[in-house]
Amino acid sequence: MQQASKGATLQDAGDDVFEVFQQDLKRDNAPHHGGNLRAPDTELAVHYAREFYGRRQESDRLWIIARTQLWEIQDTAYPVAHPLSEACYQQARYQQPQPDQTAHEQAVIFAVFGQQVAGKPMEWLYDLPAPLNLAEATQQLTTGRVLSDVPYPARLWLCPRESIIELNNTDLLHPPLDRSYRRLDGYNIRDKLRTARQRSSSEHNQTTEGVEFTTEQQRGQSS
Amino acid sequence: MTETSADAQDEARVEEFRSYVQNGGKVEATDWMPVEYRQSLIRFIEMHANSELMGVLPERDWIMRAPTIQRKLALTAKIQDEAGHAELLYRLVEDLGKTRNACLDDLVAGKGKFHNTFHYTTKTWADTGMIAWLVDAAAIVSQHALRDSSYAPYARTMQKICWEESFHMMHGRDIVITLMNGTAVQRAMAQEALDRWWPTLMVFHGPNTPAEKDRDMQWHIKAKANEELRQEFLNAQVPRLREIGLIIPDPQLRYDTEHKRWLYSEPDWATLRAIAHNQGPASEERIGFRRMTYEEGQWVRDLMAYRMAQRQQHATTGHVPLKEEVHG
Repeated sequence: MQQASKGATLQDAGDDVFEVFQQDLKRDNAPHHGGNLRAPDTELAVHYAREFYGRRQESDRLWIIARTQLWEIQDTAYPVAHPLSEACYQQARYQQPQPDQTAHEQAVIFAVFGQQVAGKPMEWLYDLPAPLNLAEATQQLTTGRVLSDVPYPARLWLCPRESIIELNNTDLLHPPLDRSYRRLDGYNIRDKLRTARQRSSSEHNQTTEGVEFTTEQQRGQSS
Repeated sequence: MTETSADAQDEARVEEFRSYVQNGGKVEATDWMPVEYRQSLIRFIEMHANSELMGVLPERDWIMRAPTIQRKLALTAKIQDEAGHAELLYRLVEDLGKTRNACLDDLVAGKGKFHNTFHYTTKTWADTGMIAWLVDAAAIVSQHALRDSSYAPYARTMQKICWEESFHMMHGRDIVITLMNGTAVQRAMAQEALDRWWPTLMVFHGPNTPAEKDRDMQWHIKAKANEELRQEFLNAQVPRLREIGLIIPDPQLRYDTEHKRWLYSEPDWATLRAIAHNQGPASEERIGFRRMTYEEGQWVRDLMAYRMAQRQQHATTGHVPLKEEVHG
């Protein structure tokens, strides 16, 4: 796995769409898909991912994966992995997708993501235990359960483990700054609201306040 | 086989799809979908994205004039959020087949649509509070309902956006309550702002179109009818406005306890229609400003394109091209 903090080791993706997975260690068992972003290279993709998926300090870990490195198996009864970058624009999907010619020939460790419930985000399930090429990995995932205790989702994504760029740098994801103005719990209107209510109800009874305001009130009530 | 003829040949499949989404079925970006559904999604989400992007302009005007450092920080953070939401939404549109550049080109050419509230000018600081409170409250009502959208990537994005927006409304309400606890002049300023924004809020969710005539509801792109959303907004916000002494500038506004719904004066639909053609009070100014910043940012996009091309050429030939070779 690449480390985002070591800028020099980053590979340029050749594509400008990156899928982002996020994990809040207190809430999430595994990284789940947050969405995607466009960036000219992996270095900027990491910075954008932090802004888009971590600026509220909601993520302890981000995985940034170039879309060209992801393959989707849409229906486990039909064992074809097609590149996610092409699948997104396909209109006539019922023309069965062709196996990807440029797919991984060399054996690598694949990370497997699945959608457990329709409509919910893709989630990292496990890494395949042994290095396989894409065709073998697809075969293995669609013919039998690799890990028997994992439920078998209908939609799978595969990516070489080494293509995952991980950002888990605490200084970037949890900077030691007061950002309470960004959070709902950073606002406490209770006392202000009580004051405003009291003033409003006493005005309603006495109408002793400023002339301009009383006029507004009368206008509202008389019409 | 072209898309259209494939589609025409398979009307049964379209019908199957329609009943699938009407029964709560979820669609992913990589699933097959009818051309009409895809185009409805593009139109709907593109307008949403444009609105997020244009919505920052009225607020941007107030960053330097915000009264305290805390307000400046909150306002800046809100603006960053809205611009971020625009980017998330443009990504959805791109995956459906219309590029972000095409959306932005349409927007700066005055062809793109964006929400009616962002076609008006702001006059005082109280407007900033009213927008953050009430425009965001109206938007949150719509966006909450969109979490049930048949298009799952959009529904998930709404979940994220709603969570990020939770503070916006509180930030606005805090501004308005603070003004109401201030001097008589400040209270008058808050009341004036409400008078100014209320008519635009009453048309925010669109006309009372019956669900069976609303194409977006038929596809289950949106899950709640316009009038239902407006009623939800009124239910939540009318008591909150009244309790702090604000007067809603609609003498006919009242709650019909028998039918359990709000009654109100007929909103100004003619103005809304004019705005739909980008003929609102501040439309030209806002689009002009967006065009200016878009043009000013051209050098950044050129540089990005150059770097991409340079890298690709280097990867294939080992030769690093000069800038002139990329941009002839």
